[in-house]
Amino acid sequence: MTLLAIDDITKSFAGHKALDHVTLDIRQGEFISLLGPSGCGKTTLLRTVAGFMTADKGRILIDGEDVSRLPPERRPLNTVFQNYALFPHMTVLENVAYGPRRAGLARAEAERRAEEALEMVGLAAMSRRNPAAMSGGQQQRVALARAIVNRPKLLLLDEPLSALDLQLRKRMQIELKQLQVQLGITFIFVTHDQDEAMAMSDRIAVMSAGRLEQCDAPEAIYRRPRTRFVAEFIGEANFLPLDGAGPEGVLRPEDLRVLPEGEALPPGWRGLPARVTGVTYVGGTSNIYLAAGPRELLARSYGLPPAGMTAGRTVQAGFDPANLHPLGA
Amino acid sequence: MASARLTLFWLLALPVLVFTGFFLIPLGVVLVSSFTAPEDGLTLAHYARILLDAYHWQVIATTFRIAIFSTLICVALGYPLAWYLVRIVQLRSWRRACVILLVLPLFTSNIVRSFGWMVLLGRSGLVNDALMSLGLIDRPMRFLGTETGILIGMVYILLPFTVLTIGTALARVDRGLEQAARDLGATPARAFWSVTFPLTLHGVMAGAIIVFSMAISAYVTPALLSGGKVTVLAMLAFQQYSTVFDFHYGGALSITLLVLTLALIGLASRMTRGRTPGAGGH
Ligand SMILES: Nc1ncnc2c1ncn2[C@@H]1O[C@H](COP(=O)(O)OP(=O)(O)OP(=O)(O)O)[C@@H](O)[C@H]1O
Ligand SMILES: [Mg+2]
Repeated sequence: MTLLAIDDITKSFAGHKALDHVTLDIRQGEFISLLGPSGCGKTTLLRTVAGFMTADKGRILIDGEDVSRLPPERRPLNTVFQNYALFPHMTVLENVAYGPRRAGLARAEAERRAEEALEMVGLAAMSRRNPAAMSGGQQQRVALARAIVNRPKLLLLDEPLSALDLQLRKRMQIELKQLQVQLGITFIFVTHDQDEAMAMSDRIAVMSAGRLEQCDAPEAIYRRPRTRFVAEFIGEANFLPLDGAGPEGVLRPEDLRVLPEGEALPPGWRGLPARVTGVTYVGGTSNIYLAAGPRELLARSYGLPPAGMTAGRTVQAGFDPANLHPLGA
Repeated sequence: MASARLTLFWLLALPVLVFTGFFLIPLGVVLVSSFTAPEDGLTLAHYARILLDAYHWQVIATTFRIAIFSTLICVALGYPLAWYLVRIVQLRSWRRACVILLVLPLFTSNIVRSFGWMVLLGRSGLVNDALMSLGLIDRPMRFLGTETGILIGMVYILLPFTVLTIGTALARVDRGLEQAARDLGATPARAFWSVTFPLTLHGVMAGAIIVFSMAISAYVTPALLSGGKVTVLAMLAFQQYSTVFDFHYGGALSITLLVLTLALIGLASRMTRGRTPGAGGH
């Protein structure tokens, strides 16, 4: 069932199109990541959904109801802000109880709910603290507790983990995902980090220059990118003609095999002569950079690179044409 | 090492000396003279003369009334003005122009500005002309010689202080906080009163204290705009010094003013501190 329908949203700033006819349907309980380079319009899209900005054209529907004209306080969603935006003049408990209070609950009941939400993010012991006296990770959790305490149907998260160090970030990724599954809340999660998006999402929406390029499950995005932009933005890609000449397809580096000159290819494979331009060995995988005529290719495999694979050597690059995915399909 | 310690000594000693020389000694002189009389040494007679007399209490009441109303009006007008400057004006050059316009009067003499208001507030002054031509009144109002007239002059002179202190506080409030409040279900008014206002309260208090202490000790503006019909404590004290040459009684008036002022400011800041828990560091 569609929870949020983003319907043909366009938004310009002084003639510059920050959002360009974006249409996206999000189902109840989904974890969607918005992924794209800086300035592609992720925050703008989130702010339009939250109601901090009005689109020039298009509609936002939540549960079938057009909320485009509603102010933020009347939209059934909550936001985790990138800088957390915790109220500095309130304790952690007061911060989290703010939402239930606005929903009309009495102080005692609101605080009970707040304690519950703090429990959920593992901060029950810190409810009397001032947010300023907490670490970045703890503030992050307070912001999360504050946003889920009212049990919204939809939670918007704008790069919530970007200020955390790598280890904490990995842990929070797991906790966030668990929380999302446990509460059944729909998440729209903005990130710069494609690994993060790949690891957490049901679907990834890739944006570029205000346009939605593709929205699909992580493996579909990786295996069957629809545009050259998506193919290059998610992981690494080789572009090869589909059959000899004509339109190009995407071949992922792990599907490209480097074989010695003259060795027979597996049946049905295609091969092309290439020259090794560089070899690296990082984190248990080896990357072999190749030049096939004007084309630059990358082949990746587990383990050490084959012996004698040095720059300047002439080899053949082979692949199964079934792994060559046509763009635009 | 020794020279470093000497430098440190002077660094600490100089401010102490200046502070003592310019503030404590004059204050001490006034304090001592307020408790003494030329004939019989130590005495409370001057204070008794003030505190046991209805006329003095009336003057004290007038003084505080004018100061409190000046403060309230300056805050009530200063907040929206600060809001306009910080939140609404987009053009940086226009904002700068507004700030200059606001501070410029502070560089001209108090006397000149008060004379200006005397002209404006007179029976056929600009203010009455405007009110009449707008049809709001049909006979000229009397401003000069009333507390209203004095209030207008005071607010005009003191308003910049609240605009500046509140504006500074407002500019430091992260607007994301208001959005967070809205996101959590607060109406714009709610978001203002529960988030923005408490976070600017220290600016409001700073402005209010400046305005209040300047208003309560103001002499020139009340003296010029009162037309001799309204008396405030500072005028009374000045008369004692300048015409009667009674330094003892005048000193007692000044100290009374000082003590009452400090008491009121202390009370006010304690009250606001109680209402914003945890706001200390912001
Ligand atoms: N309030 C605004 N006024 C003018 N231009 C804006 C405004 N907000 C965003 N933009 C522009 O719109 C475009 C999209 O911005 P947005 O903040 O949505 O990007 P983003 O994808 O969130 O980038 P990042 O990953 O850096 O956060 C940018 O070119 C930006 O300069
Ligand atoms: Mg952004």
